[in-house]
Amino acid sequence: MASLLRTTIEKIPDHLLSNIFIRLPAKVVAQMRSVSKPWNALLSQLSFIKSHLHRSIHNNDENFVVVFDESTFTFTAHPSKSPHVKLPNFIQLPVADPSDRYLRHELLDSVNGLLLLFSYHLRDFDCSLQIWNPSLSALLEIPDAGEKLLDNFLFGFDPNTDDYKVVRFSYVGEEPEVFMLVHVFSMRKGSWELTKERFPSQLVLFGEEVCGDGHDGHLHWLCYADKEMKLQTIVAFDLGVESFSEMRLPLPVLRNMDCRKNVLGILAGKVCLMSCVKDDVCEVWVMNEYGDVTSWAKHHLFSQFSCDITPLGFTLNDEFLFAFNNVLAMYDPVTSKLSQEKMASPHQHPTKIENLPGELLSEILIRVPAKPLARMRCVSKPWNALLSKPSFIKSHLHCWMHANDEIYLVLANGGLCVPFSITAHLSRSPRLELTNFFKLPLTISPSESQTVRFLGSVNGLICFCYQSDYDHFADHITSYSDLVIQIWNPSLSTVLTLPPCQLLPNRFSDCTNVYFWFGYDPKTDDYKLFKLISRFEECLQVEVYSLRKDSWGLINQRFPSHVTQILDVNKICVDGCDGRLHWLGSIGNERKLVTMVAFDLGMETFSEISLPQSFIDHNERRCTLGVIAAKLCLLSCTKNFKCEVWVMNEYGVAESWVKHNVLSDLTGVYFPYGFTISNKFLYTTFEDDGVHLYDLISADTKIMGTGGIQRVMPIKIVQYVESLVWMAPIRSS
Amino acid sequence: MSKKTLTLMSKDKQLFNIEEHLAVQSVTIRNMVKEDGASSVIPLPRVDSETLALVIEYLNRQQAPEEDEDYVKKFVDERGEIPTLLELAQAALDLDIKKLMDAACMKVADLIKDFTLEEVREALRIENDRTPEEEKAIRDEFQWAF
Repeated sequence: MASLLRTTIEKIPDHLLSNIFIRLPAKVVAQMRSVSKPWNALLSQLSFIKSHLHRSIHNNDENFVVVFDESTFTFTAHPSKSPHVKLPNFIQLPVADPSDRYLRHELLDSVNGLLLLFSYHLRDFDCSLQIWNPSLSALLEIPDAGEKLLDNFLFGFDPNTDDYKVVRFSYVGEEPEVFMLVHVFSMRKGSWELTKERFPSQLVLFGEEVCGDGHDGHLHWLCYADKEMKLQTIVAFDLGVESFSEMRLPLPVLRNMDCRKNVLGILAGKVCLMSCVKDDVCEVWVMNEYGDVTSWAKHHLFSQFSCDITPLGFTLNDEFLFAFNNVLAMYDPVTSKLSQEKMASPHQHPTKIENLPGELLSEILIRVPAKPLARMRCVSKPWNALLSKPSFIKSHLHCWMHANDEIYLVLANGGLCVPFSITAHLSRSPRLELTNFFKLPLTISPSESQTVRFLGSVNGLICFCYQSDYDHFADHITSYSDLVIQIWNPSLSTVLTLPPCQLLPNRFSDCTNVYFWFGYDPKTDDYKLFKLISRFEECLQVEVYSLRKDSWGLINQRFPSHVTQILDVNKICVDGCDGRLHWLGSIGNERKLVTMVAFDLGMETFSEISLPQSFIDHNERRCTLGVIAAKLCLLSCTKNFKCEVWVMNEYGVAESWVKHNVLSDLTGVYFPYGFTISNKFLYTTFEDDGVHLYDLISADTKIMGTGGIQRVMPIKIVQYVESLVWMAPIRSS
Repeated sequence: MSKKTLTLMSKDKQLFNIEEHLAVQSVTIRNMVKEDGASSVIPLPRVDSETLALVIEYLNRQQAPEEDEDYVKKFVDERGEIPTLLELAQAALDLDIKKLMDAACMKVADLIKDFTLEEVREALRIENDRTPEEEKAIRDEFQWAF
């Protein structure tokens, strides 16, 4: 059967064969060339290619209006019979790396199904010019030809020489001696050549858009006929003999040139001029005899659209294409049918309309505060996806953390007859207290509110605990009954209650202490609460809560046993950001030597880091740990309150400790708290109630008015950050 | 000594002159000048002439450094229309003019933060791709945010 079929087909006369083949899509025809030698010969014939093209152009059902969106570089095809139908991915850009966000593309011109495509790279301005056949997915790179970014290109077909040509217009010279050079690239020859005939020197190339249309071997575009750019004229370029000629516009158009918006096009195979008299009235003039300027005749007058229209041209079925208010419209003058499609019209500003580029959208959204941003997840599915991305949440956090004017919260634990308190201050005018800045989420009774203790804060999350049974006179937790631990996101007003710890002795003996530290591990993108129970001089148990797992886990590695006391448990204001917690501790029973212990929140292991030699004997100095410019630092006060700042330049390398600063301006008795994110030094004094912000560079001090609260109970000073860390709200509901 | 002038060309091929020491506030332009200092016209194929005129106005500002921040704020405030701001932000992003980009994005963020969902969609031309049922479901999920 198969062999019978083959012999039958090969006997079919060529003209019948070609009649069949012209009905096939180009890609299929191209594949058929390899079937046999006679087929290859037939299908490569010039006349066949022409007929195939002719048929696909004039086949009524298969006309497509293809719109290229310059902001997203995507093509959308609309069948001309039913233009409201959108065919996305009808053709796709032949781009090597679609994810390269700096690569831009422009569709310059098209003829006979070939597109002239211009691509350039925003960073290095690498440009390329390509002729692309989307139906065959074939691409021809045009060899380099100078500074293409400045040039104008037109693309046309010359039927006489059966050649496709790219015409390039480039200005050379400097004002006032500017002239135009025209180069022609012939696809047949594969090279550029300068035209022998010079571009008419009195003409000025029309800036806004150059409209080709080289179907009959001529390219046409509008030029200014004078340097004042008042008078317009049509310039034609013969692609065969490569010469210029000029054709004047219809006289009525020339008479009132000033307020007109003119566009050239082809209507029913003839050159036409679409001329908008006013914004909403468009005349269409047709040159009935090619080259005869007396044969201009007014063909249509469109005034029925009553809006500011931009004519684009005519389809092969003589439908009028135009754009208005970001809508692409197609009007059939015969049936008076108007179809429109809301889209990024190629002749207006694409970014003003749809498809906000992703990079710009992220730049805008990271500047929106957390709460309204949480709501915006409901805007659309892609927004929800973007706003849930860990990388977006990180950028958002970073943006707000480094905002121009930081906001600081002074967190004061509750105490005997004193409820806890939180006050907010701007770093630029810290004396003022921001009122109604956030809503306290706590449903805590007054007696419980005296037991609130702030355990730590990182990335805008605040961890605290409270209980009903409490020893108000201790500065650490000594009992464990009814202890509620919560993580609070003040910017989202959400709270997560932690599950109870695994090992909970009901009541510790007097010498048992429980310490908590809260931190973030960027490696595992997890928030962790570290709990340490110690009795006398021995660390009994370490347990870590992971927000990701929402559970507690025991740590097997023992806290370094020679460290017998942790110093300054409440003073650290910035820590745990880089995935590690740090403590200063004293060594042995005599507690004369000081060392630093680090806990890696990701690996959940302890390590020890040596302090600078001069610090090891801590009796001479009072030391506090802090973070300055993202590096661990040591604030060391001598007995006469001269404070030195030592920075560990290379993490974990004891030799890299460097004396960074001596705060010699500060006098009197003061207590260091650490540094803010903008490297201001925080401290309190005996002399006043406030927290002092000392600028290392300007040596200027500002005071946060805190109403004396820190004199009663220990305080923590943390940065308020708009934070999208979602996990808490989702799981608490 | 006369100051060197650069010519910038917008997407619609209009030319703008600007002194080089002002233009190099744009990191993109600075890099281009560094690469080939001789080039007389710098094409900006993504920026239309209206927006480029605004960018030039901004680059030409004569503000003392301490007033600069207020100036940028005022500059974008006066162009409070979201479409204009988006164009400006995109241009500043492409040209790498950080302060202008920051301010324009901040202004858009400020405007949309109090919008309803419908207003956000309209302002930024986002299509609601959820059915009413899906929308209700996600609103319920994030009820705490409303």
